[in-house]
Amino acid sequence: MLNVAQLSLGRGGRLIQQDLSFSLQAGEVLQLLGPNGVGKSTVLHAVAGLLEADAGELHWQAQPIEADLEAWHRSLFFLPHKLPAHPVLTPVEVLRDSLALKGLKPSLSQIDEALLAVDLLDQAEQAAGSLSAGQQRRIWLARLVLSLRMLQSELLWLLDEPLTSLDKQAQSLVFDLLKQHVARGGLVLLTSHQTVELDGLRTLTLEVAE
Amino acid sequence: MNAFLASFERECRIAWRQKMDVLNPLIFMAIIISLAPLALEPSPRLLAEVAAGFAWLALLLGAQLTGSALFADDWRTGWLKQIFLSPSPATVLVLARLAAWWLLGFLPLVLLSPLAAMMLGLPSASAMALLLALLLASPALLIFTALGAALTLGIGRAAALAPLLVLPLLVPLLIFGAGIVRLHADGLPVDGQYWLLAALSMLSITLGPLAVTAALRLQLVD
Repeated sequence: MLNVAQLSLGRGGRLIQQDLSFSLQAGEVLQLLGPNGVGKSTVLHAVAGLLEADAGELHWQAQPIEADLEAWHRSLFFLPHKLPAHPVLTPVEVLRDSLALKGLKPSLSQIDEALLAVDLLDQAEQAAGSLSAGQQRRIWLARLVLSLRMLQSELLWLLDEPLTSLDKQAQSLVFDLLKQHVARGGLVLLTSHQTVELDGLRTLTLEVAE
Repeated sequence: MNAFLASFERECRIAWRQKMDVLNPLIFMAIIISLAPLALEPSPRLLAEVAAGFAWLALLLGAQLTGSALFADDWRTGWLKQIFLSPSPATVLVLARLAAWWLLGFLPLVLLSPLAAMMLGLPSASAMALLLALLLASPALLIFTALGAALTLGIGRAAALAPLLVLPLLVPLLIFGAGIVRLHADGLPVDGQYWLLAALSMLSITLGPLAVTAALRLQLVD
């Protein structure tokens, strides 16, 4: 489904990855490993199309992603390391805005259910800026819940450090969401310095480019 | 269109919660205008003569206050990435951002400026000419300011750098725009100047969002 071939990436005028190739089939989870600064995040950005690669090709469902960018953007969800939660917006609003970008209008009960699933319902109407780092990340776990329930086309999850600032309970929730996503034939490309407890997890260790 | 409206609504909602961002430029303008009589000789004739020019300057500088950090929150919170990964064209969503800012950041300033200038003794007929000129020029001012904000995003101290980049580019607008009131006071026809400002604004609205989007696209990786 996702095919990355001979990707070369630079950052700040310096080559950090060269000839990186991997592929991901339906129902697979790939964890990128490697020391800080090796370019894990950068690879994720390049796969999402947020960063132009110096060289290389990206194919989604056997088509170059440039062939149909709209379909590509419908198929992926990218969770950056920095959190897209505006401090003055409430979790409900953050989720509604995020889904509006995908052209969806979830009902309040659908959002509430997702917030309940991540144990954030009590903070549903609080400004995100007043929530703790872990609670802010939970907003995005709720976004993943909504992806599972409402966005059948969102098959590729790109998760940059999804386990950061989460307690044990929330981490196991992440693993649970990953399992559900895999069960529906979804693909996950993630970076994490922590152990991802998942059967059939593939890992790819990035090396520093010469 | 739905994505545009949803995005527009979001930006207005955020601005509404951060009222100081909307109010600061207005207060700034009021202060600049109140300082004018102290800085200059407080003769009514002189003040009436410089009133329109001061209103223009106060508007240009006031708009930079919030304008230079226009995309800072979206960038810091990663929202910009979500915009560029939306199935809707990023330009449309950027346009929604700009439209919301024009409504809440520019329109109040534009409406306040003739009042501020009248405070310094500008005749009301000239004040109307000033209002029309500012209204016609505001989209171009907005686009240039947004371009500066987008280009300096991600550089530390961007708030100080963006105006340095933008203000020199606004010189033509200032020359034509501020000239209107003077010509109007002398009883000369000013239609040509209005059309010119409108043309510059049209050009900015057409090409500007594309340029701003392209500038933002360079800042997606942190």
